[in-house]
Amino acid sequence: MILGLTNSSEITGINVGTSTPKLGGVIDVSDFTNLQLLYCSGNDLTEVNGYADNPNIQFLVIASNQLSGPIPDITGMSSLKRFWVMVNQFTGTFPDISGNPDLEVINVGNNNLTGTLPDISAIEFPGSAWGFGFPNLIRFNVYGNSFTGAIPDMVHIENLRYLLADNNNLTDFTGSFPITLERVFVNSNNLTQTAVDNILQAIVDANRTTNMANAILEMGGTGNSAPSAAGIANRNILVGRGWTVTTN
Amino acid sequence: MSYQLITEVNNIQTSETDWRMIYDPVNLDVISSPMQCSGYASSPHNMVIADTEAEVLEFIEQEGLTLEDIDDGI
Repeated sequence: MILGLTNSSEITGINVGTSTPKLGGVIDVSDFTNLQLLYCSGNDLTEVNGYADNPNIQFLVIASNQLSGPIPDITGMSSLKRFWVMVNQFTGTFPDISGNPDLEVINVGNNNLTGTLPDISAIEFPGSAWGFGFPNLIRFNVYGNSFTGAIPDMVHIENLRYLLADNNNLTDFTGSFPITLERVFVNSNNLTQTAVDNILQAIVDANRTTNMANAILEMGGTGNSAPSAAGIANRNILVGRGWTVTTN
Repeated sequence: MSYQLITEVNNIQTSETDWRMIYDPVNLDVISSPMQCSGYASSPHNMVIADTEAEVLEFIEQEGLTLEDIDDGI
């Protein structure tokens, strides 16, 4: 048990590690005003408090615990780069990320989240050099929830490499993908044929043709529609470029 | 151990109950981790289909494949 530290404002990183038995209970980091890193994954924590208003935290890694309830408002975490809260029991909707322009990794996978996903390419950052979207975002991992509606347009997510959105109830997609995208898991949703065709077209249009060893598009599974003839033609183009592709 | 190794992955159909995995036979990296997912797969890599996850994992170990957790790290 950590009871308290007299110089908590001087601490910039906390890693609670793992132990047997696992660490349970509540962690409150509100006294650590200059905290930049918080790692406490793989425990049995039921609450982690006091981080959501901290503008200095860059890495929040609280995955694989017993955290529940809504994800806190993180719009005050203006330095946040890595947001890892996967494999918990969070409920509610996808968090508001309009105050987190430096995000590199979002992972809310395997929780109990509902509602729609934000149109992340349309989120404005008026004071930034780029204006829209998240130019540093590499991962957008939302798999294993109950999200509905559309997969977001990734037109302004120009360095995205991983889009893991499988095992939800997503139905639609309209938009484009960056050339950097190489892992696309949208299997086991409720994608319409138009959405399936649009995804195939967007990946063809992104025109990735090099470093293909890990390029994969998973669109099979229960719920998703099969592509149309035009979609199958695009699927064949991608396979010819070296993509691994699975569709219904 | 019972599995099917497919080296020409061209519209290979799997059912919801099959366990499948795709790996790069050159650098021995697993491209798509073991999963149950129906559909038609095409790939320049190899595919393994089995009845159980354990059989696929045994194949991975036996062949010395690298199973990357694509959910891990940047």
